[in-house]
Amino acid sequence: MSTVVTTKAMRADLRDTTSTSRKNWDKAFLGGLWVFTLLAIVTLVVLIGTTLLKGFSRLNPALVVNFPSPFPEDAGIQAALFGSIWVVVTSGLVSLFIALGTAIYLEEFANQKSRLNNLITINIQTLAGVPSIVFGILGLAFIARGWLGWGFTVGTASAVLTMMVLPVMIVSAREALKAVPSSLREGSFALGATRWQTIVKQVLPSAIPGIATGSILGVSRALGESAPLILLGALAYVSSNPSGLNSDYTVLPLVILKYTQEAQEEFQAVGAAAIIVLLVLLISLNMIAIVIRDKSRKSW
Amino acid sequence: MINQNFRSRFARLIVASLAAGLVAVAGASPVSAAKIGDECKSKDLYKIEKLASSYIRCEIVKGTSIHSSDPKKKAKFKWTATKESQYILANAEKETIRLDGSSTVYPLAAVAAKYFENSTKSVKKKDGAKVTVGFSGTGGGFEKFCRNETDISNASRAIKASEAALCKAAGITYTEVIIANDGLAVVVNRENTWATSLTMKELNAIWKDGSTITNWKEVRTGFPDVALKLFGAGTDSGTFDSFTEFVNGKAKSVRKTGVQTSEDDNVTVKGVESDKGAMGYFGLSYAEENASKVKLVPLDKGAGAITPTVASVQDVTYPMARPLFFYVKNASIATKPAVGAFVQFWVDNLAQISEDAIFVPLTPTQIKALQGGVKAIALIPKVKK
Amino acid sequence: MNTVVTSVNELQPSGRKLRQQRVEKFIKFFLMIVAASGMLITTGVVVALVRPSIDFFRSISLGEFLGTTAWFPLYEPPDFGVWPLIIGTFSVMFIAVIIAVPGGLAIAFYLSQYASDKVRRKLKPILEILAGVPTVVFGFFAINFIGPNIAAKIWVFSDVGFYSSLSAGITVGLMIMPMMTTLAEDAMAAVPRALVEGAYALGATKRETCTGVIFPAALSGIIAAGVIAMSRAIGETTIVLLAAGSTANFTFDVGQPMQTMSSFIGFAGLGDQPTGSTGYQTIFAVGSLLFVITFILNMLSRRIVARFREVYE
Repeated sequence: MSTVVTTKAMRADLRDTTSTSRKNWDKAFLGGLWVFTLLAIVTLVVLIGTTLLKGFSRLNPALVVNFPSPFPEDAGIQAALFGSIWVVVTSGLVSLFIALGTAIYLEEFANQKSRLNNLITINIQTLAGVPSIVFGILGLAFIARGWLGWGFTVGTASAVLTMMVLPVMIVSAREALKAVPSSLREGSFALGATRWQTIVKQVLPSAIPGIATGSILGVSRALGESAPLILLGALAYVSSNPSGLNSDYTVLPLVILKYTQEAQEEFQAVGAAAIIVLLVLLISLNMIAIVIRDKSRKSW
Repeated sequence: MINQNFRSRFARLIVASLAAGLVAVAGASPVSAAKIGDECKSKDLYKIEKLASSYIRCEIVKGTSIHSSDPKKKAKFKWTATKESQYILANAEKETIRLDGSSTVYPLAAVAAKYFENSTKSVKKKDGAKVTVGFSGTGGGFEKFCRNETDISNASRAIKASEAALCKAAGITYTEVIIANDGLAVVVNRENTWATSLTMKELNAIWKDGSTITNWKEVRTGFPDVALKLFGAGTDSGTFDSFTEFVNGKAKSVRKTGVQTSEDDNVTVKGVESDKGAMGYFGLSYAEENASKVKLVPLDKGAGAITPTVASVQDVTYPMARPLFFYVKNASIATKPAVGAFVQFWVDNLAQISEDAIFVPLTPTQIKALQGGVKAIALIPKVKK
Repeated sequence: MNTVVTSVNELQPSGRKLRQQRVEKFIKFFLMIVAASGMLITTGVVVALVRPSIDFFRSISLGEFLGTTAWFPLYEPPDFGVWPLIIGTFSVMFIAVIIAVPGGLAIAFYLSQYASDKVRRKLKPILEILAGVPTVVFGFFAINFIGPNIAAKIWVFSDVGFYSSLSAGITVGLMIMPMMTTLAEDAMAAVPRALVEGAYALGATKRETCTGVIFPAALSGIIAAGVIAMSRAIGETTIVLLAAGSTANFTFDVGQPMQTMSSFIGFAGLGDQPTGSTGYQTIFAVGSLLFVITFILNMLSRRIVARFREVYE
């Protein structure tokens, strides 16, 4: 016979004994979580929705083919698009390099309690709070003019954006490295690997998701900042794309700002369309990082 | 796995076709055998070609305008006979001419830049001159100018003594050029039926430092009991400086309470549009663009109420009329021939440029002074034909 | 007798291993330089700020700066009392943090414990896009949507116009929330599964696991995330510039336009002040003050984090 026999005692064990009050709190908690999740989704939907509505009429290839112009009919964003790509890719790569180096040093090599470690950490956190415009002033004084004297070029913009983005990247990279369990490292040491070998072959691969997150955050911020770049010579009118680190340039957020402040009504639509292009660029960059992250997420 | 492969191949296809499209559009400019009277497109405006011994240029047909909403007056472009001097200017070298300064003057400078570039690119193709225009503000522009970082500085006011001293200390000599006229318009809500004009004295009473006026009835007896809502320009701009100077006699001297300041004149428009008792001010171009949303107030400086129009701004009968300038570095003219060509081009084609950028043009007297001044710095480059 | 005698030398690495060790010493040194370069930036910021600040305080006394309450440095005659900016900064920061921190934590809990894989895969990109939306876009969103529809409707204490620190605070909070979520979620993902599964095994509900196990275990990462969010709220320039106006009102009424230290710096920095004028130097004076305040806040939070670290690790 294949019946399942349950005694009364067994059934009692299987009963759900969570009290009603606990259950109510559970429901309330979940409700609260839903509220905020929906808030985030709704915000994005409204943001994109209102922008799409305004800019839809100008979302056509002409937008990307044309250069900034004082006439709304043929205003486009080509120079700004390429300028943004140049600036963001350069600053993203440089800041990733520095952030990884710093995080690896602080987490893997340095004595956790050392004064230097402490000092650097405080430095980074303070830098995270410095308003973007201050980096612009710094860049103006020391990079565009002053010591480095690079002038108002793509290189200067990248350097300033690197400084701005570095703190967030360093903190995420550190948290990512911290999250790798010490058992992994110690196992590696026990097998005779040196510290650097451990880092490269064990720790870093496990930390890639967190590092990818930090990169996304950092690069997104670099893409969207306009305030410091106005000080650094980002132009309103330019008719060619950057050809190197030494070129005149402009960036998307800046032409958006300029277009939306113009008197003619038609410019509002161009500005809104430019915002959509910026968001598309952002989404593409995010997708790349997400793919990297998803491929390498591990759990233990 | 298949998904992954497909996605990356798809992405590559998209990028490749985008790139191909861009290249095709950029490169395919039809080589025309144009003649006088042929139609040309607006994007070819100011392109110039040589025909045997004469020269033609794509210009707008007189009587039409690119801003006209009247279909009869809608812009048409034709190849027109033009002077050899314009062709010589279009031979400017592939140099970068840098402009920066006032955001009020920016639209005018950008139009001049665009037309000049069209001109040189049609003659020298990829080696045409390049012009870049920034908008750091009048003061910011001067700062860059006196540090040798720009060739031309746009300004909505004359250079200050302190700024001139900076340039002198850096060994930079320049030429001041009055390039257009501008007016500051005072606007009120469309439902404001009582303020059909205001005197400068009344404006001063409302806007002066320490003013406590919060209601229209305190402005003039007979005005209704409506709360006064003031909207001002960003305190960090030439417009603010000019307005306070005109109304309160001293730049930056203005009441500190009761004004909502905005960096973006479009917000000022919204503000004035939204409240019956609102008053704001901004440049004439914003006023004209938004004529359907706000009401212009004629101002009276003692000789009767004057509405800001092209004429009243030009002859300075309108109380808040001001000239717009650019300053060009003399050294740039000597060392970068393209700068000289650009300035001369701007001056030669000023009337059309001002009209297309919707700026109040210069008076004939001002034009004479301009041409004389510009001639004095010997701008026409010596170029092989 | 079979004694094993090993000379010390045999235990030292040699050949490939020695080379490896030398390379690693060099790598450590190189990385230290890289890390120290971060310090270079801070030094640069301090140097860039200090000189002009000193010049500023030669003409304007510290007493006037910290003691008076009217901030109109670009008017004639100017006023240099910085309190309106400080109050403005903290108003915006509090409102932003109230929205961003609980919100970020809530979404992070949802993502880590409640959401199915499918939902997670869709939600995370949405959050990341929201995090990357440029600040100018948020700024316009604030003026066009949040200001008139939300700030004006919920603030019952006074008449809310186009600009208000409430509108700016809400928008900054919304902007920071995704960043807080991502960082908090990464902290939560680092909690060892053994801990989490143990809690479930003992009969805890999801909520109890979240609040009782995950939150305390991930606390250091969460606090780090919160500190970044707070710093970002204090330092946000563009949104506040567009949403809260450019009048430094000395008031606690968040329905009024206010200026924060950062938005003032942005406003004055982008504007027309001739370099060297007192008006221009205010940028550096306010910048120094901002730097000092951020520094103090960071020190405080590190103390707090250290205290929590001891209890749970």
